[in-house]
Amino acid sequence: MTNGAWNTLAAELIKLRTLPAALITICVTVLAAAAFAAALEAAPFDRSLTVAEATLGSVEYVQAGFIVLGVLSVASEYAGSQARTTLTSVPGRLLLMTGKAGAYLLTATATALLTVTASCAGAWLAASTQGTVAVGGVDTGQGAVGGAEVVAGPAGGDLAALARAAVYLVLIGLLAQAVAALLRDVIASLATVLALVLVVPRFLAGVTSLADYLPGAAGARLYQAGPGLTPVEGGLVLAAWLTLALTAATISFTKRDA
Amino acid sequence: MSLPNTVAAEFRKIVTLPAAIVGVVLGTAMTLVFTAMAGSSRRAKLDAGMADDGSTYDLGLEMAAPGVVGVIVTAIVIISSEYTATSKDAGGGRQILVSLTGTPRRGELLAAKAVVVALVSGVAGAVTIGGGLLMTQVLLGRHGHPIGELMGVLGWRPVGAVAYWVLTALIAFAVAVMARSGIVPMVAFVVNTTFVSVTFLLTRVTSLAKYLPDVAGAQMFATGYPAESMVTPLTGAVVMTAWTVALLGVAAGLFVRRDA
Repeated sequence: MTNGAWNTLAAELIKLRTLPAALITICVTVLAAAAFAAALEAAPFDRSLTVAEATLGSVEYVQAGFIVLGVLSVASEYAGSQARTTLTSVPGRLLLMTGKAGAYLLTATATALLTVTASCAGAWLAASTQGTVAVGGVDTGQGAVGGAEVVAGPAGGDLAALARAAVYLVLIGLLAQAVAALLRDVIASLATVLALVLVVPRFLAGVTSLADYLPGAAGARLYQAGPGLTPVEGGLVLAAWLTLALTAATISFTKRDA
Repeated sequence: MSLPNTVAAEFRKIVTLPAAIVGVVLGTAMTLVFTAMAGSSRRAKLDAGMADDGSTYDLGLEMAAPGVVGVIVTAIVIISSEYTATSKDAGGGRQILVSLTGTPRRGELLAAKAVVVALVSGVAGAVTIGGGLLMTQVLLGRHGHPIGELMGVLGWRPVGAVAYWVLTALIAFAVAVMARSGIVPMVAFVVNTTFVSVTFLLTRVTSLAKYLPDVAGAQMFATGYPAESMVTPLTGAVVMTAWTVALLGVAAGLFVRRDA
């Protein structure tokens, strides 16, 4: 038994590291990020993209990897009787949940940084093989940051947007972790969060402006300007979703049978 | 056991699988609700003086592509649930061992599952597409079109949309048989239903991508697909069917030879 926060965090980190599915998810996410950014850079839709823009475009796809990571970090315990072993070792449920969230946040932050870096590298490679030296910046919602020579690397404004994209990736996985704590099943949690973030927006688009308040769309405003909410509003809406999901998960996890 | 009995057994299984029911019901209900919302918002726009560019015929088909997610979930869980171990307290067994004891001929078991997937997704698709088409025309009010005219304009495309649902479900099923788990197919197929799907992104990189199953299959019902020089609807149907047959063949080959 342990009631130490550091021990719990260390234990959860070991668990996550020794979960083959988690390691595979991280590797696939980082590699897929590079591939998506390269594809977006090589074949842009209406105008050529800067390296930073192609990287931000790939976030839409690679967020699925963070959702899987968040779900796995909790729901894999319920595939067998691991959850009870864990609770015997760490009886403090709130402590355990905090430990799990902490282990996920550390792992996901490292993965997000790797992902964004890999995306940039993929887009940069695609751009330099094509020989296109696009000049411009990314619109971060606070006015375009222009003038960065892209093949030379992203400029300061771009870096801020890229950092916010990494933050978004970590947070959307945290939402998935909370949902997994509620549903306790890998497939059900995956289907729920992926549908909420990726499928429902496609239905709602053009029908109602409520689509802007879905976690994925609101969170996207953190790193990419778009219709609907401002970056601050988007961040607040995503924070509200997270608060709701984490509160429900905490109540459920502390009150329910294991 | 004979094939009809095995199909009946698999049908009983899918009816008692909560995730499968949730997938079909939510997929159909959500598609219909959002199609209805699209219909009434279009009516408001038309009433406000927007010109009818002929897309009111298509309104019932617009949600057909994202709506397929529901039957994808059902097609995946019908096989992934067989490989999920029950809790240690309940013996830690897997359904697949019992299924293969009951139906030792593996080809027959897989065929029965494929028949159930095709039937369930076909009925769900027909209800969703048919219901969506009727509902939008009613909701459009005076901007709606009579059924005869609608069918004349749309031709085979509603049938193509239902075929797209059935073939997509069978492909998801085949991939889940290969993966023996639900996670990989679930992520792959759901990510591919986003606005800018992965396969659509590939059409920008290589023209060969127009022969990918969902890109080719979408031509069976889509108008104004946002990429150029796509295949014809009939070619699309042939290409997607060929993919389905090939993937089911590979899945059957693996399923027959591999350890359970």
